[in-house]
Amino acid sequence: MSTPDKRPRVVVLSLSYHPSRRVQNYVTDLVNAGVDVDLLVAESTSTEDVELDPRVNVRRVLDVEADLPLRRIERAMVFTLPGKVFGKARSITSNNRVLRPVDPAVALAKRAQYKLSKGFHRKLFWPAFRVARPWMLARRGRASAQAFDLATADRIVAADSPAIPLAWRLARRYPQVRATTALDRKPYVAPRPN
Amino acid sequence: MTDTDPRRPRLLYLAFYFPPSRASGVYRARATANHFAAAGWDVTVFAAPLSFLYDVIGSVDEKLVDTVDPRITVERPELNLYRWEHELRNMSWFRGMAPGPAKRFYEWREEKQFPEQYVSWARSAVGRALKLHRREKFDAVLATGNPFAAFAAAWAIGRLARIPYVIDYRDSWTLDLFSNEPAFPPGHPAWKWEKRVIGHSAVTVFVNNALREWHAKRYPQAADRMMVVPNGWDPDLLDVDANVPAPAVAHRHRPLQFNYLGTVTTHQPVEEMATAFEIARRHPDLSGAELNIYGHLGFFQHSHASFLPRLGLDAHGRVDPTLDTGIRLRGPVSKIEVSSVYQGSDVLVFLAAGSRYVTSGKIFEYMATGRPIVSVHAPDIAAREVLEGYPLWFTADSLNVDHLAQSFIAAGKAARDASPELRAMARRHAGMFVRDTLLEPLEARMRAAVRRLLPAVEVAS
Repeated sequence: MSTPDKRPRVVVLSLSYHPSRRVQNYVTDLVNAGVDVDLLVAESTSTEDVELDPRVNVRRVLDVEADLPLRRIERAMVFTLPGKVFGKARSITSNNRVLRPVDPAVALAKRAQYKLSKGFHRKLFWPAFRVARPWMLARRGRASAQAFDLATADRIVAADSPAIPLAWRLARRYPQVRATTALDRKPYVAPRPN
Repeated sequence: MTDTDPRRPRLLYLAFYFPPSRASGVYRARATANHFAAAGWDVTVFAAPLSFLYDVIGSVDEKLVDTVDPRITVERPELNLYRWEHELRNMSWFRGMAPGPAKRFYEWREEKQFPEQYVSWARSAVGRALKLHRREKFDAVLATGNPFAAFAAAWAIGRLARIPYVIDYRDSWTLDLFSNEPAFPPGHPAWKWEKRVIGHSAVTVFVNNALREWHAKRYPQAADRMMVVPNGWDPDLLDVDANVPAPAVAHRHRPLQFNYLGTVTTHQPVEEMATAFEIARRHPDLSGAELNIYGHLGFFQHSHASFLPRLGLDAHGRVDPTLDTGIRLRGPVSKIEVSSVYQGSDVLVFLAAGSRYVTSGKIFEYMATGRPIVSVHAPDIAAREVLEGYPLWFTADSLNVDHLAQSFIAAGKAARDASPELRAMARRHAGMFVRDTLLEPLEARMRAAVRRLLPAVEVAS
């Protein structure tokens, strides 16, 4: 916990694909109020096109979220592998005079497969992945978060919904640190007149 | 009848916002409970949990608790604070590990019961009411909204306990007061619920005639069971000595003090008021005049940032000398302390969101002071029906800033020149709107609705 001679420190977890404007403003307000802010984001691209104060100490859970095994497997099974199979089939049918008559059918099947794969990805995989994503980030992000020396932080803030599972686990691990979902500036920023 | 008479009528009053809450509707609830207690009813109030008032909305006025009749029993049924819970350590495993599905499940469970976030309080209130009713029978239920889940609770208690219930529309539910249009699309569950609660209520109460008429048109079968109880003012909370002259009379060369009391919201014509006052201050009579705002900006904590530029103030609420419009932020005052603010006022500013359905509770107190009142609102407003006849009312009947400025100037002149007779006449007009007087017809109708023989009325105050 902070002492009078120590600057307060807040660890903000924001695991949406990009920190929202609300989170960015919160972090900026804290930094301007003299708070040391550690920000954990999902991946490297999370802070692209985001104007963050250079005083904010940023860490990432993943380099590239698309490289998660589940997403790699899904991409391979749903897009890459069928694509390669149909590509090979078409290379045979288009170059073989006997099989050339079936080439349009293979091309059609390839397009149908791609549409089907996209439908599966959007309608089935992605909704399920969105539910599972916070759990994965909670597992993968624990080490990155602990690198912030959480035991000496004033509070842990889960700034968006995907950050809650990780923050919830950290709250249990560090019972002496206040853990909240509220972007509460009051303890650090001087109140405006009412 | 005495206080100890076991046969006195027993009232269950569902008033979510009750002292120490400082929500704007709390004064009507407080006065209603006090009035029924004074009229011999055994009153039990179901109010919001203190944790909600202190930790969630943070708007309390503890001094108000002392103004509640000690004969009133206050219970606080549980409210599920799910949507207001921010502490991760207090969250369940389900919510902590699956925040998205947990939220959807919670909302689905709430919405299938009643389309409002306070439904868990209403559910607890029904359970608690039935438990108390088994011990000692209630004779009637009175519910005030918002929250309107209180109406649903009153309906459920009324059906299950077989007692009459009355609903008090302290606020509007299905009518958007700012657009004057229905607040919900056709087919929304709120319509079904409103039809149900009004259809079965013994009496439905509104704060002005315009609201009563709007509802009577929608629910003609219940029109004869609708009545108006205007908000009124509370003499016990307002102590403005008529014998002490207004500052403008006692100190004729002091700059005039225009005061506004109450919460400022985004719906009010704040910019028009600021511009008009700036224009009015150029008149010699208003030289150096100040318009003091006594109250909160916005309703919830930290909601005031957007208001400051609209008042011509800097981000810290301080006067910017280059933009000074004469407006000063004085901060909130306790209801108990408003009397001294009124006493120090030369003119009162009635800033209100314009709607033909809006009366505003503060206008009654304003009138009770006998001070000049300047209206800053759209002309088509329900408050007209109470202001008509007040001899020190100055209205531009528009939001044109030049016309408003003229009203400010005229009110300023009246503050210095109005005769004691005129001020007395103004206070007599306000006397018609003392809250206790306005509540008497409601108490009589509820007494008549009780389904058992009651002892003869002997009011114990």
